Amino acid sequence: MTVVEFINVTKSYRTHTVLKEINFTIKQGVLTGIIGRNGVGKTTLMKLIVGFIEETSGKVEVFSEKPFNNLKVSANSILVDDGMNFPYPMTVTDVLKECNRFYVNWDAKLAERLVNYFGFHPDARHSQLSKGKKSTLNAIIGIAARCPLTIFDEPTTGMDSSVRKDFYRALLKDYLAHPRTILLSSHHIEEIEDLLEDVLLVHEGIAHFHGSITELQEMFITLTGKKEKLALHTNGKTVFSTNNLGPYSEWIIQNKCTQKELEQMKLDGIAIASVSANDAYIALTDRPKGGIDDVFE
Amino acid sequence: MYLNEPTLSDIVKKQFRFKLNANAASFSTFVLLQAGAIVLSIVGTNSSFFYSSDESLVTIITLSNDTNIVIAMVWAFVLGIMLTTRNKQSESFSFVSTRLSNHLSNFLFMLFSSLIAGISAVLSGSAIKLFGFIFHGEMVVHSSSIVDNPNNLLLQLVTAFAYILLLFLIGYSISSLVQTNKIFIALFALIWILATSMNGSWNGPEYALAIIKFFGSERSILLFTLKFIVAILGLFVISTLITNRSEVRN
Repeated sequence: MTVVEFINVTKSYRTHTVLKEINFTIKQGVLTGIIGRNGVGKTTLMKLIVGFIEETSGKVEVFSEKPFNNLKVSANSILVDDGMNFPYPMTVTDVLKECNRFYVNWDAKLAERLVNYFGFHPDARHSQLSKGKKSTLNAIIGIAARCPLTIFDEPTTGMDSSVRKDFYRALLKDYLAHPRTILLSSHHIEEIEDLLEDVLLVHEGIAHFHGSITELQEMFITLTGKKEKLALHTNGKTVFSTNNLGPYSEWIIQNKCTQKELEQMKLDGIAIASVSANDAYIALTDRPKGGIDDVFE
Repeated sequence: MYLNEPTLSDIVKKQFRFKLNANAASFSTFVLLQAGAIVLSIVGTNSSFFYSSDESLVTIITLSNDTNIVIAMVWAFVLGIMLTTRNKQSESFSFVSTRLSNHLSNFLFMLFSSLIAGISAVLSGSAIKLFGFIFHGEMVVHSSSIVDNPNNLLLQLVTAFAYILLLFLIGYSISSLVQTNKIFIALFALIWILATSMNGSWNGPEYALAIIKFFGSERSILLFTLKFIVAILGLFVISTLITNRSEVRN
């Protein structure tokens, strides 16, 4: 069953267009990572799903309904981001109590155990928590609410590395015990790649890639060898990144070589390896030519 | 997949309770303001009359809870403005909410707050009488009590409630308009200037007074109620309609 469907969705703000006729569908019960560079519209996309903002054109459907001003969508979805705001006087306990009233599937015991584990004082005011603590509490709310559609937008902002690890583990455990549709965005793909079933790569306003992590990785290969040899063998192919390591160079190219070509390369002393998800992601989203180094030349 | 399908009234009720918790501090502010108003009112206004025929001096001290009601109205106006700020709005949208449910729960909250504020502002009259008696020493207290004129108290309660609610909604609507487009700030500034300035052909204060008189000088209870209901519902519907497509948590 489809939970989220975007058909030719465009979202423009006064000065610029963020999403340009984007199309994708998210199936029920899949944990999907939304990845993309800064400012490509990941947050906009998520806000459209939960109905905080309205699409400029096209059709957004969540649970087969238009999410904007929709009570059913609001009751069955939650967006966890750093814009989650709670009234100034409310303490951690107060916030959890409110959640319990609003979210039907709320697991109060789990929330309490998580809050204890992460060392919150129950009477601490939400507004006075540190940035990392705020993110942690918001993430706990996202997990314990058990909404059929749970969305995390950069949930780990400000968390230290051990809390980050714990959060991802908690999320995975709860997801396995209570399967639901989860969208998760992060800049750090290497942190979440073990968690994700699918990735949706947003780039230049469209869904650049939508599939499993392995598929993403298999789009590219890494070649390591002498520069001249590499240049010879990759003639006519798009090189996505080059990296000089002393006498050897490491190039990432599209995985479109024939078996014969690969054997030829091996004979010429070129090592062929698969790419990490992160490298594949960067290769896909980088402009084919020019990196930060070129700015200084 | 099991989907929860709440009714609008269900969510409005939950949000109303949430808003009571969220705005608890504004009630503490209200209590402080009322206490201040009581202190101010105790002094009262003095007027003395000297009768030369028998050389007696009569001092009349008028104590009134008008200050309490006016302060309650100002409080309502400010709180009405605060309810529609971006911050408050995003607080509501941290939980289950639509724009309509948010407005309806805000309306319930204003209704409830006006009731509480109206009752306490009116009943502060008794406190003022008591403290006034202690402060001014022995004196003859004349006032209509609930026993000999129950309608008077009821009328006070209803009018205080109505005025406070009206001020709530004026603040709420102004703030909603400004949230939608900042150009309304200029518009309201212009209205303010027009209402306070006068020259040969234009008499701003008079026109402003005419609007106040439209409500204030109404003698018929039925018409008064009707005017208020229309004004309050009108303002509420306007605020709801103009913000129904607004983007939240942005």
